[in-house]
Amino acid sequence: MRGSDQGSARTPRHQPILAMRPLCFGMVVILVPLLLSTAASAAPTLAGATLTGRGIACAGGATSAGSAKGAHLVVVPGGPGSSASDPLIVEKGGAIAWHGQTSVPLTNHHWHIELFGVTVASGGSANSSRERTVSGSANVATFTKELVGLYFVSGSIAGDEGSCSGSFWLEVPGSPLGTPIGIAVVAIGVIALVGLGQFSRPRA
Amino acid sequence: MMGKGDHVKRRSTIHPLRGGLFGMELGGAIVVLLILYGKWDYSSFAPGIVVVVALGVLGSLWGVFGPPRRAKSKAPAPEG
Repeated sequence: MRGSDQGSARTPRHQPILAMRPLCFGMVVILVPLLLSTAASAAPTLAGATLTGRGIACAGGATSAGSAKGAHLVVVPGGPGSSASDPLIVEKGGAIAWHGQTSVPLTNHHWHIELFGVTVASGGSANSSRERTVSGSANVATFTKELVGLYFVSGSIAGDEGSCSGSFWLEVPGSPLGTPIGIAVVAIGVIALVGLGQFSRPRA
Repeated sequence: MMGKGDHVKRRSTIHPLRGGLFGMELGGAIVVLLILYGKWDYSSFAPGIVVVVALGVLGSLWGVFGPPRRAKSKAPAPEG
């Protein structure tokens, strides 16, 4: 049957809802930090990472537990280099156990972690106890919230004796389009296309 | 051939700024999507800036040289 619901109220021909809103595209969102320790040499390497030491030798590693694809390990040196095809996979809400060590105690150090090239976490210590190793764990949900996708995480630590810097790719499985950020980005893109098609063309 | 009296006066409105802003907005959305899908190694900001600026320029050109929209038709003046 056709037209059974025809005759209902018609929508206006031009709804200016999407119209001339202030364009906001300063949306580089930074939420997700992660660790970035430096890594140690160990055997199985499923995820890649890059680590560079200046003045000192650095090593470290990180393991994601509770992943549907099994525990993923990133180790440096010895493992494959940082690559989007070899990410450290962490389930949304999962945790990462990390550890790092340096060849000499790194005193008066300062560290930071970057995501999208923007610092998302930082800190430092005098390290008066002259420790050479450090370890911990990070709950990904604390940083990533609802984010999923593939992220390039980088960071460095610098002290009186030298510095270490490294990077790796982190994957939180899932489609970015199903997240608030993904939806917002798509909406912004659609608004831009509508703006180009409807409001930016010259008028004869 | 058009004669003197056949001259048609045409007035068009262009929107280079509007097109540029929408183009940059589209570029920004594309860049963020590329980041989320891991298709762009953002170790450098330059490619992202290039994408945004390029789409802004294309949007401006679209606002000037794009296919024109029909002018709003004015309501006919009441006769009499």
